[in-house]
Amino acid sequence: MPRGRERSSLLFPVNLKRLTVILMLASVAGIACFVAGESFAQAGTARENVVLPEVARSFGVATSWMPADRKLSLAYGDHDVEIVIGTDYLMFDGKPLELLAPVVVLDGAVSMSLPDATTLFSRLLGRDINPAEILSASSASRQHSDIVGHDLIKSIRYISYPDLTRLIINIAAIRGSDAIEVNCVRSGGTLRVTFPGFRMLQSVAPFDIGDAIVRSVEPVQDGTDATLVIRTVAEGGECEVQKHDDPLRVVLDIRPTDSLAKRTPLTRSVSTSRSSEWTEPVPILPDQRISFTTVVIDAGHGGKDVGARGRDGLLEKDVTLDIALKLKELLERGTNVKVVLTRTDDQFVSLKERTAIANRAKNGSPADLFISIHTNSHASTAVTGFEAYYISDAVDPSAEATAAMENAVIAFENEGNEAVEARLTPILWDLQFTEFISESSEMAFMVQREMAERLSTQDRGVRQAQFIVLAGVAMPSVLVEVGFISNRIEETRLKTDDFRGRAAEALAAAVTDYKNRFESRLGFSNGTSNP
Amino acid sequence: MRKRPLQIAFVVLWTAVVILLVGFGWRLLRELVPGPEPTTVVPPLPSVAPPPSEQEITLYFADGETLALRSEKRRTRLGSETAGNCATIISELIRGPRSPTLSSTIPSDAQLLGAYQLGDTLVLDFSRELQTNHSGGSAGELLTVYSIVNTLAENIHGISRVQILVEGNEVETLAGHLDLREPLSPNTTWMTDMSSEQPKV
Repeated sequence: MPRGRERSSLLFPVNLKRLTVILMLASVAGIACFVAGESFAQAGTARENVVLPEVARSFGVATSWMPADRKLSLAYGDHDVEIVIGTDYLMFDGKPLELLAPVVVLDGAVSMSLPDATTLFSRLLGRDINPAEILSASSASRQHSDIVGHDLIKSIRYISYPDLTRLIINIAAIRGSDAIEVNCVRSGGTLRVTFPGFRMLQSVAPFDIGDAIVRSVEPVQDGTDATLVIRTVAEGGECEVQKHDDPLRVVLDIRPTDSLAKRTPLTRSVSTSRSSEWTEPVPILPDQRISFTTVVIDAGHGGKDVGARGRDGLLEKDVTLDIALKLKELLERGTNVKVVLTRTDDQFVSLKERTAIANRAKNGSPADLFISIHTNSHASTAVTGFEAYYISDAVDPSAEATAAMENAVIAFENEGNEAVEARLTPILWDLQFTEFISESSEMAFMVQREMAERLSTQDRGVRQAQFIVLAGVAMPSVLVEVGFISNRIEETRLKTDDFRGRAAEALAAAVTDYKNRFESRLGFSNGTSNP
Repeated sequence: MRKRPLQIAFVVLWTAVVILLVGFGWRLLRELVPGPEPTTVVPPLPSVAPPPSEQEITLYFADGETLALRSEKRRTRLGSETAGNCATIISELIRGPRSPTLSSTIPSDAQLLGAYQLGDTLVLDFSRELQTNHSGGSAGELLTVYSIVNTLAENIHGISRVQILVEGNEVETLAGHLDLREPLSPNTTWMTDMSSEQPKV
């Protein structure tokens, strides 16, 4: 032992105790510097950005959004302004005006730096406007200066699963996830989830979910606490809280009370390997997904593949084509969305070709939405009704890994800068996929709701499955089963122009609703987008 | 002193008796228990290869009311061989349900051509009728595939995934919807209405 001491004092001539103290002090200082730097950086960028459409609206400036060109137009009096996302200049009455920072999409909203916004609106309105006015006008501004230093609820995202609704609450806090307190209180059809000591960012707006479990979510600042008022469909919902670090967030799983007993654990099986002849969907960066312009409509089956067959001889392929053509017409008449069909007549198109068409429908890039139309069939001829499917991730949604992956998407979107892009590229597809699941589930529930309003048949609900066309497209997607061709009464209905027309109307309404939601997430309220 | 030769004789006699008994017992054993097959290397011990015995199996059929799968139990003879047991279970599935509220999920003229186990994955090779005579529809297709996957994963020990082949080949789908390029795990999530009294899959 004495030899050991000798050796160590030879190796470390400086007193070991003193060295430890120095090292500890240094690391504390380092951490302090890092934390200070981080919060400074956050405060810096946070204070500078405002959501442009929000500010415009509050000053009575008209906005229109041309997603295809990534262009935002503002008009006030005789003045007009054109801004292209990602450029560092704008056109003011036809003359270029340089910006301090380019207009970007941050947190899913078109954002401009505060000094630029101050200059722009001063010119546009013809009077001196100070930055504070802009900030108070931007109800959804990134972060008010007084908020910096608080624990914040930054954004909320949700995913509807058939048996649970998952809210992912992105937070910023100095403490780690373990120290965060979350209280769930249920009263009747309302769940109140409270985060003591938290501030709700004003950009966190109330939203409707309207799936089988949750009606709506309303964020409220309740004195010093942030609260989410969650209205459930049935009286009494169960709330399960998970907390995660990196990035910091709280995941709330909401289930109807009786469904808890039914939960069965499922073995995890994720397989990403695909047969090589299939076109691997090209991952697209979130920044490119700022416009909703192109929808792909896939009429199921066709040609030698007749699909399901009715007792009376009606073929699935004929019904799906007719509904697809009707839907195309409705969308082209009622919206400015570009519609691409995977087939326009009775021809055989392989599943591979269908996904390939969808993945290059938007000027060579993946479209914004994919809808596959089918008619159903069951061994029991008594079965009737309509269903909407979205892709299954083949993972138990209650698995922690899923929640972790889902949230990484949000972190990625929020940062949205090149450094992050480079860092995340290898897993980008996974992240993108999870984002698509969230949006696909939203679309599936909207389709189901619209069909329930228009088709007087049985609502079979929304389900998830590993469908091959949905797995192959790099965009949010749904597969719709409008009715059972195997049932005699539904077969008769499926033959009529009226039923096919109503099915197409339901789908068109869902597409419009989806497009509006997509654009309102960018900061545009419904109706302000270019007609 | 005089007793010593007697003692030796006794010991010799006992040894002879023991040897005789062991030898007789061995012969008896060999006669009663069938010897090993020429190809197997398993020693002919009485505990190996029990004859097929009657067992309870759980089969999943389509429930017309809920669009989900529902279980039906029945007794059948199962042996120790995976391929044979798969054939037995699939033929029970093809034979269809006893309950009038349930319906069959596999075309009646489809056949199981082969089955083998790769780790925890069971590979089932069906004749083309599984595909060509399928009535189609997402619901119909999901029920066919998951009645097969759920049933076999539940009844064949050590199986957690099932890969379906048609005439020895990998297929994209049976009827144009569900991805069959990869082995599938038993699915309970899309069948939210499965009755709770049945065992976990």
